[in-house]
Amino acid sequence: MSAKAEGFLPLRGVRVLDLGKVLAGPTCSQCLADLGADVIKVEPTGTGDDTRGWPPFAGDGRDGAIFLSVNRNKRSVAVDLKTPEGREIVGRLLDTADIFLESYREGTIDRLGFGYEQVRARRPGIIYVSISGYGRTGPLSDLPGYDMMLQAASGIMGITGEKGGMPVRSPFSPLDQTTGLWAVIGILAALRERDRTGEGRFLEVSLFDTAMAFLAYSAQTWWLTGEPPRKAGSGHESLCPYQAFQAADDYIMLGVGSDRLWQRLCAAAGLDAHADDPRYRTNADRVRNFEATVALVGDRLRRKTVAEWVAILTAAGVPNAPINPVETVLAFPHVADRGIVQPYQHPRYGALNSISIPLRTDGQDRRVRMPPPMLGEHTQDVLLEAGFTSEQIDDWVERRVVAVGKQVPAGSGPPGSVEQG
Amino acid sequence: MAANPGVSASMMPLDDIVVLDLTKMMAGPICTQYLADLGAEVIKVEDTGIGDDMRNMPPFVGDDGAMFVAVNRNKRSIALDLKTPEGQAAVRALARRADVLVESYATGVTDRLGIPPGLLRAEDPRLIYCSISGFGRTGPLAKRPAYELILQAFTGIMSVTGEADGPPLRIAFSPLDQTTGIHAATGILAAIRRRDRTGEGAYVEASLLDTATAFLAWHAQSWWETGELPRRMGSAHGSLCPYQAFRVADGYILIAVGSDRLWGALCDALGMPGMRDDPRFRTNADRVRHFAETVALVQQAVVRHPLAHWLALFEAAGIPAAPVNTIDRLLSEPQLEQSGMIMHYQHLGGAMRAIAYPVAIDGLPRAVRRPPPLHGEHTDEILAEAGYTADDIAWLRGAGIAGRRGRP
Repeated sequence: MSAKAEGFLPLRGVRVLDLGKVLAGPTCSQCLADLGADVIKVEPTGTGDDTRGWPPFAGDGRDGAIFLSVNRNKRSVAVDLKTPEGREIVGRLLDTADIFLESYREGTIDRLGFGYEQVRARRPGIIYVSISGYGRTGPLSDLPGYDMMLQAASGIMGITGEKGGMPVRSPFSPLDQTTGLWAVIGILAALRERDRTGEGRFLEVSLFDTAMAFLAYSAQTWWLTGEPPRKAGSGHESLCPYQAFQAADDYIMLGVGSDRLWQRLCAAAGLDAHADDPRYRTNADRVRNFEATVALVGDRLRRKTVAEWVAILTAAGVPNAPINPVETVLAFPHVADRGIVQPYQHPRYGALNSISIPLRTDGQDRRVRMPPPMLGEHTQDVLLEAGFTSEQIDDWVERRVVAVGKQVPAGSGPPGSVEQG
Repeated sequence: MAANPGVSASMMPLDDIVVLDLTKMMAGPICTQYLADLGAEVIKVEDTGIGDDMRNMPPFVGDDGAMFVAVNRNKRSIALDLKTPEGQAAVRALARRADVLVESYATGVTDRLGIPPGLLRAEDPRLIYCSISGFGRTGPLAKRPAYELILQAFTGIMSVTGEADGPPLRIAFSPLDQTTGIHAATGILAAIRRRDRTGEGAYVEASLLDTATAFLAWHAQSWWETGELPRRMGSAHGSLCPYQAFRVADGYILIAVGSDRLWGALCDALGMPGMRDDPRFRTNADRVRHFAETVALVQQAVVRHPLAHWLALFEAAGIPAAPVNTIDRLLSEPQLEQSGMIMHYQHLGGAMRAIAYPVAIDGLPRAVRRPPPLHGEHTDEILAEAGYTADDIAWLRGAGIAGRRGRP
């Protein structure tokens, strides 16, 4: 067995029944799939996961960029859960599942017959993961969970932006994505426990809890000082100088996170006379004299261009960065060298790229085993595996209980690209 | 485990795992704190000077900064001078007892300390060795010094954050540091699973660069598919509309219309039923195409009434909306006490609060087993566990190689 060639797949043999949609659930199940799990994505017949319809689109416009970015290495089964047959299909798939993942609005999953107790009765030892906006209990549990709503409601937006400015959204849905990661951590922990005891678990993650965890140190500051943290533009309330400065031509970020780096900055920027000034010597001094420190450093940095400062500060070992646009970053040789971008062939859209799971194990390359599935692409395969007959499946296709994706002509993708890994 | 019997029913699947924690600041300590929350025994190695830099960042609890206190519960602290041969010998002795080693030094430092992954893994093939870094341990940028802020700028996250014409904004909750810690924890958990089955250890790498790039996965996908650069949109979203902040009579409200059903509900609530079937606005794709018009119509409608009016109306209609909260208001939400996300514990003789591990398991309570350690608080007991005699320990302390006891 060439484990090296296969990559790091410690979840091989683990089956995930994935009833999540949009971003948090799919981020979780894509991580599990990247680690080797067999993920069966159950989608509604018709348009499937909402994000398939969100622009911009690849190729013929069937699947949006967000969908493509979080659904690799999964198989898609399109089933109408409003029909009794559709629910029986999911029940049957449950019989071989290790993990059940759902992210419906409060109450919906119970109505469908797949609440935790119902699922556990049919499949003891299941690890059941419920992803929601505010958790499944408590006074706010009925509220819908959208990333941006939670950014506002949780106070994250209250500390992001310029003083007095408009509310600013962190534009990469950190709560959705990181809630998916918390689900992964809970699942991996519960799998180890199940390996030892045979017992399953009911795991709850929510955007709200994730936001709280992100705000843990801001909360600690509030509890200690009674002063709510405020919007600070690019600055940091506990570190100085640690923000954007205007150089001669554009902005540059400067990150002085220790007193050693302060000494280096002073040497590199011609501020030697101030290195040991008692107003600036330690970080606590500089935070106390925030405005004066920023003025002192700002006056220096204005005198040269970003490129000049990047060269000077990098040589001196002082953390700094220009504000790069996304496409510049993607083109960095470092990104290619680290295997962060995975190119692959999609049977419908041709050559596509994907961003790797951000952990590398044993220095191995990370690869796309299966492209993001077309809606219902694997309905037939998965139902046959589950013991249903071709006749049954044909009947259900006819009655729209299930939908099957277009078969991709053989040879149109790379070998093995649409089969199960 | 015995420290707090109240948590014995919680999920502690790592209660047989010893983690040697050679990290400081945010990303590494977040990773090891969550491993500790799951039951691992975490030994935090600090220098004999001021220790973890975050002990030194205001505001303070006793001698320790709030950020330090927030991410170092359930760990023990040993303070060693790793510039001395004896200190290095001690850390190697601790590494030999560990199942997991997590380090976040600058690239190259583990070689100087005599604990590079290649050597330690050759000595103990079961060891799971995790490196957390800014740019990764290999590649042209591996040696660049890195902080959260630097990576927010460098990776393009800042290029998509903020108002279209505004200055660069920092996302204030350090998402890259914190999420890199989370990714490292997932990698370690996955590696523990493989080790349980095969006996094989692993070298796990997480970095702020990889985390940032992963956060930007769909922005990258959009760029690859369309060749159009994502731009700053304030609070708005490039693929959904209307999904942003609007000005109301007395402030701002966030409205998130994530489906065409919600669009219909919003049109009714705003008293503009004609809009729902207008071909310019019918589907999300239509509204994204007519972005400015959609936003202008909603804006005109909502500015006429105050926040409270709209929140009540939208809640009744099932339309996702929110005020822009501040953290103090958030922390007073009963939801948080009820869900157990705020934990209470005693530290330095006073009542303290902490934010819990954000995964609820079988609805079990989460609790602080150990307060964040004082600097070098556990130096003696950890050295004794590693086989040092009382005389050795006294000598190491006398020579300043092993650290001070805690400073109350």
